[in-house]
Amino acid sequence: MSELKGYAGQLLDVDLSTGTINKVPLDPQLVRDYIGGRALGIRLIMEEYGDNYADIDPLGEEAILALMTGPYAGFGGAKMNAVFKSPQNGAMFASSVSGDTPAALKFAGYDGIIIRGKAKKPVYLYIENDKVEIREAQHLWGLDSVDTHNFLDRETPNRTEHLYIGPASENLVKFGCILANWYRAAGRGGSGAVMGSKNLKAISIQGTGPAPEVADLETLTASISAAADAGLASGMRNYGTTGGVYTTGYRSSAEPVRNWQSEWHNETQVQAQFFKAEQWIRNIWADYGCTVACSKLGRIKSGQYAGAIIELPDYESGAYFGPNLGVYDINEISFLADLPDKLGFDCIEGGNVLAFAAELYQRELLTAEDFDLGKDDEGNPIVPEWGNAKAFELLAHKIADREGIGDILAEGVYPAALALSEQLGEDVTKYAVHVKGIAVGAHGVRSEKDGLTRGKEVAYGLSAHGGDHCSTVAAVDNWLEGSVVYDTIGTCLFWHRTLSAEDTLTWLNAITGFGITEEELNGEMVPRWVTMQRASNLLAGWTAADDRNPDRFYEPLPDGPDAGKRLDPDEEKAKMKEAYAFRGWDENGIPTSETLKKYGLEFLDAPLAKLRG
Amino acid sequence: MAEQNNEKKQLSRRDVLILGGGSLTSLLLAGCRPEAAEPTQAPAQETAANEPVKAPTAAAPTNEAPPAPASEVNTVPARYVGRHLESCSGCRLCEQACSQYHEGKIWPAASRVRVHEFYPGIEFPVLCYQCGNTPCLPACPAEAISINPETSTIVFDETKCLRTTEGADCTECHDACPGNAITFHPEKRIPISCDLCDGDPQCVKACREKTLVVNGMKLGAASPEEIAKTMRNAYIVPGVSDLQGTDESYS
Repeated sequence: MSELKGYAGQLLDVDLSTGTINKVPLDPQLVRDYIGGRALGIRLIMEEYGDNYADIDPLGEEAILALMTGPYAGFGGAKMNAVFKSPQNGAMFASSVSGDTPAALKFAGYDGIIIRGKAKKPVYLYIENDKVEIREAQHLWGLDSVDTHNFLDRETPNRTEHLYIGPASENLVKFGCILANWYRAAGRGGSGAVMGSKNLKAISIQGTGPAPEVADLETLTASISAAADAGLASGMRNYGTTGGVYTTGYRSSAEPVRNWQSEWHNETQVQAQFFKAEQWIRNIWADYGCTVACSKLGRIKSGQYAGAIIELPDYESGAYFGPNLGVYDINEISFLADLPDKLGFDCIEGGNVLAFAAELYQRELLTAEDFDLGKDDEGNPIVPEWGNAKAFELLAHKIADREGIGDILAEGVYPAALALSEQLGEDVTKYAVHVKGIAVGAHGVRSEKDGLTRGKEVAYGLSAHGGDHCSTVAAVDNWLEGSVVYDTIGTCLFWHRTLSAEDTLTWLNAITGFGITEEELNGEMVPRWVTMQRASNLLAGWTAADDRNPDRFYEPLPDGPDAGKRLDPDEEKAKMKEAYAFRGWDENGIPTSETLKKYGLEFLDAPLAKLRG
Repeated sequence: MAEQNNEKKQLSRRDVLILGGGSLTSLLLAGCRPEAAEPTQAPAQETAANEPVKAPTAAAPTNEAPPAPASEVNTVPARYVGRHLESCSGCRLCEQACSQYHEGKIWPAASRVRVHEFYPGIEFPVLCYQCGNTPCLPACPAEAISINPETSTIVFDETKCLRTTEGADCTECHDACPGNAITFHPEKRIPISCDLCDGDPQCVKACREKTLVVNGMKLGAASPEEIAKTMRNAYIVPGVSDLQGTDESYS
């Protein structure tokens, strides 16, 4: 058995090309330095790619998909990470997904799954403790993600947990995502496209073993119990993040409105209590071990989508498929926000690229014929005008099916903007609201009122995940990148926000016995993990010139109490230089040899030396 | 604020345990006592205190458990674990607590209470109903099941059970139970079932949603599948059976 406490001590390594299945022990020293989840997954893959990093095709047979739990899995944590080279921007991505799956994987005896190669035809992986099978999945191919879950439930034992993709990922939509528990998703970066490229429809996990031995069960039990009590007090418990659909616009002026042409609105009907009163049928729905229970299940009772079963919407999907598309009918918002879950693509990139297309229609750069969305009951062409929910529903399906203009939009907002610029003979990349090829989260920085984006100049520019709002940086002299710690230990930001850093570390140390201090975590470990991800961005071809905000954020806000506020590109460049210096990166944002050595990342020195020139 | 409330809740529960005493008189009197009435009101107070900004509208439907009537106040000893299924979130803290008590480690598959999830958003705990009829008892071909006179819960004699003596795959007790509440230990293979933790059920202590309540809402035994379908129909959540031969169950 492994000397590691709280870990299963091994990874499942599956090669779909050859059908080879191996169990690989974890290196205890590597685990001590990288803990698990996001950091450990990225380290394992980057080390394996080595000098060939730039040449690896993210959707090629040689690409690796890692599904990594952290030490928290089974001990109260409900998150695991899909780790992969992003088909969207070529950098290393770790996208977290919650549910009962992480615990099931640990109870089955694994800390993670490494998927390699490509199956000849659609398959799914079935894991029942020691027994691992590659099964045919032709009958599941083409099913939407909700039905995929239901069919998998029918052919596996009770309480088997699943990870799976929807039709968008089968069709290699670049921002396709991996889903779990019907409505949870590893949304960002294109994890599902990687899974789809391997012809892997699903992974079903039946874990009936005990959780591994921990360092201090008594303290752990106390931590879990205290956190369960704290979770009950979380503001997320009553309304999830749905409240933001109104407040982030009205109160914070930080919400995408019509493709970020504005960030403010005062549409009072989109407040959370109306979603609750009108739609929610299950108000408390939790993942393993969680008492925040921010998920809500709803049913639309009136309007053109009456009868549809939906979840929440959460803030990101609600904002991106609501105000960002000019849609303010709560039934239409909920229906549209739920589509990405069913079709299986990232709701942020999806809502962003839909609005991008709609802005091109608004500016008469694209026409009704370009969209080809059919005709309405009165024989008029359906066009993506702001607020036309039907048009956006049809366009979302076109993206998932890669049909017509959907084939271009399925590449993601930045590649789509590049392609359309060429096609239209006019630069439209300025309408693509992205950072390093990743659509920004539904959190604007111009008003300075959004909690997630305090360090407005560097927040998105320094994020190793580009536009991912969960990886934004709070200040120039701060390493901490959003939820990098929670992604790595395998638990949820919303829950841990109710706890102190000390509580979190006490919990982690009770599981692992690592004795990690706050000082070590923030002074050594987080810098190590962030620097490593930075290297992947550089190796993917992104440079210091890309450490910036989207063009739109340099335009002044047009309305609301913060009208006129904008970002100053010169100030941003100066702050970025400061941040580079703080982090031990050279003036081109490349980590120096000394920095790499300091954090034990010598394996990256040779590849980065080529970039230093 | 939150800490105070949690503190209060724990104290309240402890108070009640002290108060109970187990005699019929105290059980009957419990509803009349102001001290005993307090915990039943605690949930409502707590919810209100935790949402100072967004008080729920009166019209808003709620899945939270209604305050238990005074007659359901916790007492010692526990005769059964009652269930308010509609409030279950599916967090599975009950499974963690149960397995820790019985196995000394977190081991949901070996828990005496299991949380099922057949449909999205519909999760609920299943454990021995303490039905009193004990159809499991005569169903056992090896007469390995008896009643613990102290707790009135069923006990399995491992030395008689065919699963241990003959390595058989016998499931007679599980099948005879109308609630399928008897499960099998994933490693030892023996049947396992709720023993009320010697009178102090750990799952109830772990349950933050007030789904599991000592001597609370007594349910008639039904199979997990039946419960799931009933709840699914009540909340109009579509499910697997709608998918027979079609994939158009949604929208």
